[in-house]
Amino acid sequence: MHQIDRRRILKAGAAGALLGGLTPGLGRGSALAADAVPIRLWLQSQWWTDEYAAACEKAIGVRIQNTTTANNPTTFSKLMAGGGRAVDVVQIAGPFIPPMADQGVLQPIDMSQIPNAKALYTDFAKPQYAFGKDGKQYGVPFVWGYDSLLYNADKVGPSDSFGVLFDDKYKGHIGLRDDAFFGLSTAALFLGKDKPFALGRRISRM
Amino acid sequence: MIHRPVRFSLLGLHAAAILVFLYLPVVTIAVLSFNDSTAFALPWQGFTTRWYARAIANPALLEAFRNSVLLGVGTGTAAMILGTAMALAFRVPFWGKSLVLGLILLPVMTPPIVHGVALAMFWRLNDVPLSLYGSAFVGHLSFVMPFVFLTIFPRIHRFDRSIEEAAMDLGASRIATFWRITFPLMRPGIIASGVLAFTLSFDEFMRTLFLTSQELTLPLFLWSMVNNDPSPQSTAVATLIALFSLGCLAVWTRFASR
Repeated sequence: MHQIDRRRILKAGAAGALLGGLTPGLGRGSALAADAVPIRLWLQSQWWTDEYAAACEKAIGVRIQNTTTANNPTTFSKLMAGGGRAVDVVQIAGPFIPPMADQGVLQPIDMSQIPNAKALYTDFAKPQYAFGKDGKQYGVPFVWGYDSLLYNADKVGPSDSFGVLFDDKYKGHIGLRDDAFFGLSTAALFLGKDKPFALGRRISRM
Repeated sequence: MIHRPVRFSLLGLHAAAILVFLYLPVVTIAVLSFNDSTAFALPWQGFTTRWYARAIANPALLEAFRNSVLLGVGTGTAAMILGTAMALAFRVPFWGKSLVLGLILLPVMTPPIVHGVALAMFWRLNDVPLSLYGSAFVGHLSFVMPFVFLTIFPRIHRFDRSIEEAAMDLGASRIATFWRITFPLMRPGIIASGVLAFTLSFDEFMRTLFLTSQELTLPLFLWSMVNNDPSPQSTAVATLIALFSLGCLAVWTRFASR
Protein backbone atom coordinates (compact mmCIF):
# COMPACT_ATOMS: atom_id res chain seq x y z
CA MET A 1 0.00 0.00 0.00
CA HIS A 2 1.43 3.33 -1.01
CA GLN A 3 1.73 6.03 1.53
CA ILE A 4 0.01 9.04 0.13
CA ASP A 5 1.38 12.45 0.85
CA ARG A 6 -1.65 14.12 2.38
CA ARG A 7 -0.24 17.55 2.02
CA ARG A 8 0.17 17.23 -1.72
CA ILE A 9 -3.42 16.23 -2.22
CA LEU A 10 -4.91 18.84 0.01
CA LYS A 11 -2.86 21.70 -1.31
CA ALA A 12 -4.45 21.33 -4.69
CA GLY A 13 -7.91 21.50 -3.31
CA ALA A 14 -8.74 25.15 -2.96
CA ALA A 15 -8.08 28.61 -4.24
CA GLY A 16 -9.88 31.87 -4.80
CA ALA A 17 -10.23 33.96 -7.89
CA LEU A 18 -10.64 37.66 -8.43
CA LEU A 19 -13.13 38.86 -11.00
CA GLY A 20 -13.48 42.61 -10.78
CA GLY A 21 -10.38 44.52 -9.86
CA LEU A 22 -9.84 45.26 -6.21
CA THR A 23 -9.86 49.03 -5.99
CA PRO A 24 -6.50 50.58 -5.16
CA GLY A 25 -8.19 52.32 -2.25
CA LEU A 26 -8.75 49.08 -0.43
CA GLY A 27 -7.09 49.15 2.94
CA ARG A 28 -6.93 52.89 3.16
CA GLY A 29 -9.54 54.60 5.28
CA SER A 30 -10.93 53.08 8.42
CA ALA A 31 -14.54 54.29 8.40
CA LEU A 32 -17.16 52.18 6.69
CA ALA A 33 -18.97 54.31 4.16
CA ALA A 34 -22.58 53.32 4.57
CA ASP A 35 -23.62 54.05 1.02
CA ALA A 36 -20.49 52.82 -0.70
CA VAL A 37 -20.69 49.99 -3.18
CA PRO A 38 -19.96 46.73 -1.35
CA ILE A 39 -17.56 44.08 -2.46
CA ARG A 40 -19.65 41.19 -3.73
CA LEU A 41 -18.53 37.69 -2.89
CA TRP A 42 -19.53 34.20 -3.80
CA LEU A 43 -18.40 31.97 -0.98
CA GLN A 44 -19.67 28.64 0.20
CA SER A 45 -21.53 28.99 3.45
CA GLN A 46 -19.00 27.34 5.70
CA TRP A 47 -16.32 29.87 4.86
CA TRP A 48 -18.31 32.92 5.82
CA THR A 49 -19.53 33.40 9.35
CA ASP A 50 -20.89 36.56 10.93
CA GLU A 51 -17.84 37.01 13.14
CA TYR A 52 -15.52 36.58 10.19
CA ALA A 53 -17.54 39.04 8.12
CA ALA A 54 -17.52 41.66 10.88
CA ALA A 55 -13.78 41.33 11.45
CA CYS A 56 -13.11 41.48 7.73
CA GLU A 57 -15.22 44.58 7.18
CA LYS A 58 -13.60 46.30 10.12
CA ALA A 59 -10.12 45.47 8.86
CA ILE A 60 -10.51 46.72 5.31
CA GLY A 61 -13.14 49.40 5.80
CA VAL A 62 -15.41 48.28 2.99
CA ARG A 63 -18.77 46.56 3.25
CA ILE A 64 -18.79 42.97 2.06
CA GLN A 65 -21.84 41.21 0.69
CA ASN A 66 -21.78 37.46 0.32
CA THR A 67 -24.08 35.17 -1.60
CA THR A 68 -23.64 31.54 -0.67
CA THR A 69 -22.89 29.16 -3.49
CA ALA A 70 -23.53 25.45 -3.43
CA ASN A 71 -20.55 23.71 -4.96
CA ASN A 72 -17.71 24.16 -7.41
CA PRO A 73 -19.29 22.83 -10.62
CA THR A 74 -22.34 25.05 -10.14
CA THR A 75 -20.21 28.13 -9.60
CA PHE A 76 -18.10 27.22 -12.60
CA SER A 77 -21.18 26.84 -14.83
CA LYS A 78 -22.59 30.15 -13.69
CA LEU A 79 -19.35 31.99 -14.38
CA MET A 80 -18.89 30.44 -17.79
CA ALA A 81 -22.48 31.34 -18.72
CA GLY A 82 -21.75 34.97 -18.07
CA GLY A 83 -22.83 35.35 -14.48
CA GLY A 84 -19.56 36.89 -13.42
CA ARG A 85 -20.44 40.45 -14.31
CA ALA A 86 -22.17 41.11 -11.02
CA VAL A 87 -19.68 39.63 -8.60
CA ASP A 88 -16.21 40.75 -7.55
CA VAL A 89 -14.58 37.83 -5.77
CA VAL A 90 -15.42 34.17 -6.19
CA GLN A 91 -14.27 31.15 -4.26
CA ILE A 92 -13.76 28.07 -6.38
CA ALA A 93 -11.47 25.07 -6.31
CA GLY A 94 -8.06 25.42 -7.92
CA PRO A 95 -8.47 23.16 -10.97
CA PHE A 96 -11.33 25.28 -12.28
CA ILE A 97 -9.19 28.40 -12.58
CA PRO A 98 -7.03 27.77 -15.68
CA PRO A 99 -9.97 27.06 -18.05
CA MET A 100 -11.75 30.20 -16.88
CA ALA A 101 -8.60 32.29 -17.09
CA ASP A 102 -7.95 31.15 -20.63
CA GLN A 103 -11.52 32.00 -21.62
CA GLY A 104 -11.16 35.53 -20.30
CA VAL A 105 -13.75 35.05 -17.58
CA LEU A 106 -11.33 36.13 -14.82
CA GLN A 107 -9.19 39.17 -14.30
CA PRO A 108 -5.53 38.73 -13.32
CA ILE A 109 -4.49 39.66 -9.81
CA ASP A 110 -1.77 42.05 -8.84
CA MET A 111 -0.29 40.27 -5.86
CA SER A 112 1.71 43.33 -4.87
CA GLN A 113 -1.57 44.92 -3.76
CA ILE A 114 -2.19 42.19 -1.20
CA PRO A 115 -0.14 43.06 1.89
CA ASN A 116 -0.42 39.60 3.45
CA ALA A 117 0.81 37.81 0.34
CA LYS A 118 4.32 37.91 1.82
CA ALA A 119 3.10 35.71 4.65
CA LEU A 120 1.99 32.82 2.45
CA TYR A 121 3.79 29.52 2.73
CA THR A 122 6.26 29.18 -0.13
CA ASP A 123 4.32 26.10 -1.32
CA PHE A 124 1.27 28.30 -1.81
CA ALA A 125 2.91 31.50 -2.99
CA LYS A 126 2.71 30.74 -6.70
CA PRO A 127 0.54 27.68 -7.08
CA GLN A 128 0.58 26.25 -10.56
CA TYR A 129 -3.23 25.89 -10.67
CA ALA A 130 -3.77 29.63 -10.19
CA PHE A 131 -1.99 30.64 -13.37
CA GLY A 132 -3.38 30.94 -16.87
CA LYS A 133 -1.59 30.20 -20.11
CA ASP A 134 -0.49 33.82 -20.29
CA GLY A 135 1.56 33.41 -17.13
CA LYS A 136 -0.53 35.81 -15.05
CA GLN A 137 -1.87 34.87 -11.65
CA TYR A 138 -5.65 34.58 -11.40
CA GLY A 139 -6.16 33.09 -7.98
CA VAL A 140 -5.17 33.71 -4.40
CA PRO A 141 -4.85 30.64 -2.17
CA PHE A 142 -7.68 30.77 0.29
CA VAL A 143 -8.23 27.48 2.06
CA TRP A 144 -6.81 24.00 1.96
CA GLY A 145 -6.87 20.94 4.10
CA TYR A 146 -10.57 20.26 4.21
CA ASP A 147 -10.38 16.77 2.75
CA SER A 148 -10.44 14.53 5.78
CA LEU A 149 -10.59 10.83 6.31
CA LEU A 150 -13.59 9.74 8.34
CA TYR A 151 -13.93 6.18 9.49
CA ASN A 152 -15.91 4.11 11.91
CA ALA A 153 -13.34 3.33 14.60
CA ASP A 154 -15.25 0.19 15.57
CA LYS A 155 -14.77 -1.31 12.15
CA VAL A 156 -11.53 0.20 10.89
CA GLY A 157 -8.28 0.37 12.77
CA PRO A 158 -6.51 3.72 13.22
CA SER A 159 -5.78 5.09 9.76
CA ASP A 160 -3.73 8.04 8.68
CA SER A 161 -3.49 7.35 4.97
CA PHE A 162 -5.94 7.86 2.12
CA GLY A 163 -4.77 4.45 0.93
CA VAL A 164 -7.38 2.91 3.21
CA LEU A 165 -9.96 4.13 0.68
CA PHE A 166 -8.56 1.68 -1.84
CA ASP A 167 -8.19 -1.28 0.51
CA ASP A 168 -10.09 -4.30 -0.84
CA LYS A 169 -11.03 -5.20 2.71
CA TYR A 170 -13.55 -2.33 2.73
CA LYS A 171 -14.93 -2.93 -0.72
CA GLY A 172 -18.52 -1.75 -0.92
CA HIS A 173 -18.21 0.39 2.20
CA ILE A 174 -16.35 3.42 0.86
CA GLY A 175 -17.88 6.81 0.14
CA LEU A 176 -16.06 9.57 -1.70
CA ARG A 177 -16.91 13.22 -2.04
CA ASP A 178 -18.35 14.01 -5.45
CA ASP A 179 -15.19 15.72 -6.63
CA ALA A 180 -13.51 14.37 -9.74
CA PHE A 181 -10.23 16.11 -9.02
CA PHE A 182 -9.91 14.63 -5.58
CA GLY A 183 -11.01 11.15 -6.59
CA LEU A 184 -8.79 10.81 -9.62
CA SER A 185 -5.68 12.40 -8.15
CA THR A 186 -5.97 10.33 -4.98
CA ALA A 187 -6.28 7.16 -7.04
CA ALA A 188 -3.30 8.19 -9.17
CA LEU A 189 -1.20 8.80 -6.06
CA PHE A 190 -2.23 5.43 -4.69
CA LEU A 191 -1.25 3.72 -7.91
CA GLY A 192 2.07 5.50 -7.86
CA LYS A 193 1.54 7.38 -11.11
CA ASP A 194 3.97 10.04 -12.07
CA LYS A 195 2.56 13.60 -11.87
CA PRO A 196 -0.80 12.64 -10.32
CA PHE A 197 -2.21 16.16 -10.78
CA ALA A 198 -1.39 16.31 -14.48
CA LEU A 199 -2.68 12.99 -15.71
CA GLY A 200 -3.93 14.04 -19.11
CA ARG A 201 -4.66 11.06 -21.32
CA ARG A 202 -3.23 8.64 -18.79
CA ILE A 203 -6.58 8.82 -16.98
CA SER A 204 -8.00 6.27 -19.42
CA ARG A 205 -5.23 3.83 -18.58
CA MET A 206 -5.42 4.08 -14.79
CA MET B 1 -66.79 -11.37 -15.04
CA ILE B 2 -65.02 -9.81 -12.09
CA HIS B 3 -66.99 -9.45 -8.90
CA ARG B 4 -67.29 -5.78 -7.97
CA PRO B 5 -65.82 -6.03 -4.44
CA VAL B 6 -62.69 -7.76 -5.77
CA ARG B 7 -62.17 -5.13 -8.43
CA PHE B 8 -62.64 -2.37 -5.89
CA SER B 9 -59.91 -3.66 -3.58
CA LEU B 10 -57.46 -4.20 -6.43
CA LEU B 11 -57.95 -0.64 -7.55
CA GLY B 12 -57.64 0.59 -3.99
CA LEU B 13 -54.45 -1.35 -3.54
CA HIS B 14 -53.08 0.00 -6.78
CA ALA B 15 -53.94 3.56 -5.80
CA ALA B 16 -52.43 3.11 -2.36
CA ALA B 17 -49.22 1.77 -3.86
CA ILE B 18 -48.92 4.78 -6.16
CA LEU B 19 -49.54 7.22 -3.31
CA VAL B 20 -46.96 5.50 -1.15
CA PHE B 21 -44.42 5.53 -3.96
CA LEU B 22 -45.00 9.24 -4.53
CA TYR B 23 -45.18 10.47 -0.98
CA LEU B 24 -43.06 8.12 1.12
CA PRO B 25 -39.87 10.13 0.34
CA VAL B 26 -41.55 13.37 1.36
CA VAL B 27 -42.89 11.83 4.55
CA THR B 28 -39.45 10.39 5.30
CA ILE B 29 -37.87 13.81 4.98
CA ALA B 30 -40.53 15.29 7.25
CA VAL B 31 -39.94 12.60 9.85
CA LEU B 32 -36.16 13.04 9.71
CA SER B 33 -36.56 16.77 10.26
CA PHE B 34 -37.42 16.04 13.89
CA ASN B 35 -34.30 13.92 14.40
CA ASP B 36 -32.05 15.11 17.20
CA SER B 37 -28.90 14.14 15.37
CA THR B 38 -25.98 15.84 13.65
CA ALA B 39 -26.68 14.14 10.34
CA PHE B 40 -29.88 14.01 8.35
CA ALA B 41 -30.01 10.25 8.37
CA LEU B 42 -30.92 7.43 10.70
CA PRO B 43 -30.34 6.33 13.44
CA TRP B 44 -33.07 8.15 15.23
CA GLN B 45 -31.59 9.96 18.18
CA GLY B 46 -34.55 11.63 19.78
CA PHE B 47 -37.28 14.09 18.95
CA THR B 48 -36.55 17.79 18.61
CA THR B 49 -38.00 20.85 16.95
CA ARG B 50 -34.79 22.84 17.06
CA TRP B 51 -34.20 22.56 13.34
CA TYR B 52 -37.45 24.42 12.75
CA ALA B 53 -36.60 27.01 15.39
CA ARG B 54 -33.23 27.59 13.76
CA ALA B 55 -34.75 27.74 10.30
CA ILE B 56 -37.28 30.38 11.27
CA ALA B 57 -34.60 32.43 13.03
CA ASN B 58 -32.13 32.27 10.11
CA PRO B 59 -31.97 35.72 8.44
CA ALA B 60 -30.53 34.37 5.20
CA LEU B 61 -33.38 31.91 4.92
CA LEU B 62 -35.99 34.56 5.66
CA GLU B 63 -34.47 36.80 3.03
CA ALA B 64 -34.47 33.98 0.49
CA PHE B 65 -38.10 33.23 1.38
CA ARG B 66 -39.00 36.88 0.98
CA ASN B 67 -37.26 36.99 -2.40
CA SER B 68 -39.10 33.89 -3.56
CA VAL B 69 -42.48 35.20 -2.44
CA LEU B 70 -42.04 38.64 -3.98
CA LEU B 71 -40.70 37.23 -7.22
CA GLY B 72 -43.56 34.72 -7.27
CA VAL B 73 -46.18 37.40 -6.69
CA GLY B 74 -44.67 39.55 -9.42
CA THR B 75 -44.45 36.65 -11.83
CA GLY B 76 -47.98 35.48 -11.01
CA THR B 77 -49.50 38.91 -11.46
CA ALA B 78 -47.70 39.65 -14.70
CA ALA B 79 -48.47 36.18 -16.03
CA MET B 80 -52.16 36.56 -15.14
CA ILE B 81 -52.44 39.84 -17.02
CA LEU B 82 -50.42 38.79 -20.04
CA GLY B 83 -51.97 35.34 -20.15
CA THR B 84 -55.50 36.72 -20.08
CA ALA B 85 -54.69 39.20 -22.80
CA MET B 86 -53.16 36.45 -24.90
CA ALA B 87 -56.07 34.12 -24.34
CA LEU B 88 -58.52 36.82 -25.34
CA ALA B 89 -56.48 37.54 -28.46
CA PHE B 90 -56.62 33.89 -29.44
CA ARG B 91 -60.37 34.10 -29.81
CA VAL B 92 -59.97 35.75 -33.21
CA PRO B 93 -57.97 34.46 -36.13
CA PHE B 94 -54.80 36.35 -36.98
CA TRP B 95 -51.79 35.76 -39.14
CA GLY B 96 -49.18 33.48 -37.56
CA LYS B 97 -51.48 32.17 -34.87
CA SER B 98 -50.05 28.67 -34.79
CA LEU B 99 -46.51 30.06 -34.84
CA VAL B 100 -47.30 32.25 -31.86
CA LEU B 101 -48.84 29.27 -30.09
CA GLY B 102 -45.67 27.30 -30.72
CA LEU B 103 -43.52 30.10 -29.36
CA ILE B 104 -45.69 30.38 -26.27
CA LEU B 105 -45.36 26.68 -25.56
CA LEU B 106 -41.63 26.52 -26.32
CA PRO B 107 -40.37 27.20 -22.77
CA VAL B 108 -42.24 24.16 -21.51
CA MET B 109 -40.40 21.87 -23.86
CA THR B 110 -36.98 23.40 -23.35
CA PRO B 111 -34.87 21.72 -20.66
CA PRO B 112 -34.59 24.11 -17.73
CA ILE B 113 -30.82 24.21 -17.76
CA VAL B 114 -30.73 25.02 -21.46
CA HIS B 115 -33.28 27.77 -20.95
CA GLY B 116 -31.35 29.20 -18.01
CA VAL B 117 -27.96 29.16 -19.69
CA ALA B 118 -29.38 30.58 -22.93
CA LEU B 119 -31.02 33.47 -21.09
CA ALA B 120 -27.87 34.12 -19.06
CA MET B 121 -25.79 34.29 -22.21
CA PHE B 122 -28.37 36.54 -23.85
CA TRP B 123 -28.18 39.04 -20.99
CA ARG B 124 -24.42 38.86 -21.02
CA LEU B 125 -24.18 39.56 -24.73
CA ASN B 126 -26.37 42.61 -24.23
CA ASP B 127 -24.39 43.81 -21.21
CA VAL B 128 -27.37 43.54 -18.88
CA PRO B 129 -26.41 42.58 -15.31
CA LEU B 130 -28.22 39.71 -13.65
CA SER B 131 -30.74 40.62 -10.99
CA LEU B 132 -33.67 39.11 -9.17
CA TYR B 133 -36.37 41.43 -10.49
CA GLY B 134 -34.74 41.76 -13.90
CA SER B 135 -33.26 38.67 -15.48
CA ALA B 136 -34.77 36.19 -13.03
CA PHE B 137 -38.21 37.76 -13.34
CA VAL B 138 -38.12 37.57 -17.14
CA GLY B 139 -36.92 33.98 -17.00
CA HIS B 140 -39.68 32.97 -14.59
CA LEU B 141 -42.31 34.81 -16.62
CA SER B 142 -41.33 33.09 -19.85
CA PHE B 143 -41.45 29.75 -18.04
CA VAL B 144 -44.91 30.16 -16.47
CA MET B 145 -46.61 31.83 -19.45
CA PRO B 146 -47.44 28.55 -21.23
CA PHE B 147 -49.04 27.11 -18.10
CA VAL B 148 -51.08 30.23 -17.49
CA PHE B 149 -52.16 30.42 -21.10
CA LEU B 150 -53.15 26.76 -21.21
CA THR B 151 -55.18 27.19 -18.03
CA ILE B 152 -57.10 30.27 -19.12
CA PHE B 153 -57.55 29.58 -22.80
CA PRO B 154 -59.92 26.56 -22.53
CA ARG B 155 -62.22 28.59 -20.32
CA ILE B 156 -62.27 31.48 -22.75
CA HIS B 157 -62.82 29.08 -25.59
CA ARG B 158 -65.88 27.65 -23.88
CA PHE B 159 -67.17 31.07 -23.07
CA ASP B 160 -70.38 32.00 -24.85
CA ARG B 161 -69.74 35.20 -26.76
CA SER B 162 -73.40 35.87 -27.23
CA ILE B 163 -73.49 37.11 -23.63
CA GLU B 164 -70.91 39.73 -24.55
CA GLU B 165 -72.83 40.63 -27.68
CA ALA B 166 -76.00 41.02 -25.64
CA ALA B 167 -74.25 43.38 -23.27
CA MET B 168 -72.91 45.47 -26.12
CA ASP B 169 -76.35 45.51 -27.74
CA LEU B 170 -77.65 46.99 -24.52
CA GLY B 171 -75.13 49.80 -24.80
CA ALA B 172 -72.10 48.67 -22.80
CA SER B 173 -68.71 49.72 -24.12
CA ARG B 174 -66.15 47.03 -24.84
CA ILE B 175 -64.21 47.87 -21.70
CA ALA B 176 -67.35 47.75 -19.57
CA THR B 177 -68.36 44.49 -21.21
CA PHE B 178 -65.05 42.97 -20.42
CA TRP B 179 -64.83 44.29 -16.89
CA ARG B 180 -68.40 43.55 -15.81
CA ILE B 181 -69.35 40.49 -17.81
CA THR B 182 -66.41 38.57 -19.20
CA PHE B 183 -63.89 39.07 -16.45
CA PRO B 184 -66.11 38.07 -13.49
CA LEU B 185 -67.04 34.86 -15.26
CA MET B 186 -63.41 34.12 -16.05
CA ARG B 187 -62.09 35.25 -12.71
CA PRO B 188 -61.81 31.86 -10.96
CA GLY B 189 -59.77 30.54 -13.87
CA ILE B 190 -57.57 33.62 -13.96
CA ILE B 191 -56.88 33.48 -10.25
CA ALA B 192 -56.21 29.75 -10.47
CA SER B 193 -53.66 30.40 -13.19
CA GLY B 194 -52.12 33.15 -11.08
CA VAL B 195 -51.70 30.82 -8.11
CA LEU B 196 -50.28 28.17 -10.43
CA ALA B 197 -47.82 30.71 -11.80
CA PHE B 198 -46.84 31.71 -8.27
CA THR B 199 -46.21 28.10 -7.25
CA LEU B 200 -44.21 27.36 -10.38
CA SER B 201 -42.11 30.45 -9.84
CA PHE B 202 -41.64 29.71 -6.14
CA ASP B 203 -40.37 26.20 -6.84
CA GLU B 204 -38.30 27.13 -9.88
CA PHE B 205 -34.65 26.23 -9.37
CA MET B 206 -32.59 25.53 -12.44
CA ARG B 207 -33.31 28.67 -14.42
CA THR B 208 -32.98 30.87 -11.35
CA LEU B 209 -29.55 29.40 -10.71
CA PHE B 210 -28.23 31.04 -13.85
CA LEU B 211 -30.28 34.21 -13.69
CA THR B 212 -29.40 35.59 -10.27
CA SER B 213 -26.08 36.76 -8.99
CA GLN B 214 -26.36 38.34 -5.56
CA GLU B 215 -29.83 37.30 -4.45
CA LEU B 216 -30.96 33.84 -3.48
CA THR B 217 -34.40 32.39 -3.80
CA LEU B 218 -35.54 29.72 -1.38
CA PRO B 219 -34.78 26.76 -3.67
CA LEU B 220 -31.27 28.12 -4.28
CA PHE B 221 -30.80 28.62 -0.56
CA LEU B 222 -31.89 25.05 0.11
CA TRP B 223 -29.53 23.76 -2.60
CA SER B 224 -26.64 25.56 -0.96
CA MET B 225 -27.64 24.20 2.43
CA VAL B 226 -27.92 20.63 1.20
CA ASN B 227 -24.46 20.87 -0.33
CA ASN B 228 -22.74 22.35 2.68
CA ASP B 229 -24.63 21.34 5.81
CA PRO B 230 -25.06 17.68 6.75
CA SER B 231 -27.42 18.33 9.67
CA PRO B 232 -31.20 17.78 9.55
CA GLN B 233 -31.54 21.54 9.04
CA SER B 234 -32.11 21.07 5.32
CA THR B 235 -34.87 18.50 5.93
CA ALA B 236 -36.70 21.02 8.11
CA VAL B 237 -36.43 23.68 5.40
CA ALA B 238 -37.54 21.19 2.76
CA THR B 239 -40.57 20.22 4.84
CA LEU B 240 -41.54 23.86 5.31
CA ILE B 241 -41.29 24.42 1.56
CA ALA B 242 -43.41 21.33 0.91
CA LEU B 243 -46.08 22.52 3.33
CA PHE B 244 -46.10 25.97 1.78
CA SER B 245 -46.46 24.49 -1.71
CA LEU B 246 -49.28 22.26 -0.49
CA GLY B 247 -51.02 25.33 0.85
CA CYS B 248 -50.70 27.06 -2.50
CA LEU B 249 -52.02 23.93 -4.18
CA ALA B 250 -55.05 23.93 -1.89
CA VAL B 251 -55.78 27.53 -2.83
CA TRP B 252 -55.36 26.69 -6.50
CA THR B 253 -57.73 23.73 -6.27
CA ARG B 254 -60.38 25.89 -4.68
CA PHE B 255 -60.30 28.34 -7.59
CA ALA B 256 -59.67 25.89 -10.39
CA SER B 257 -62.68 23.73 -9.69
CA ARG B 258 -65.17 26.53 -10.13
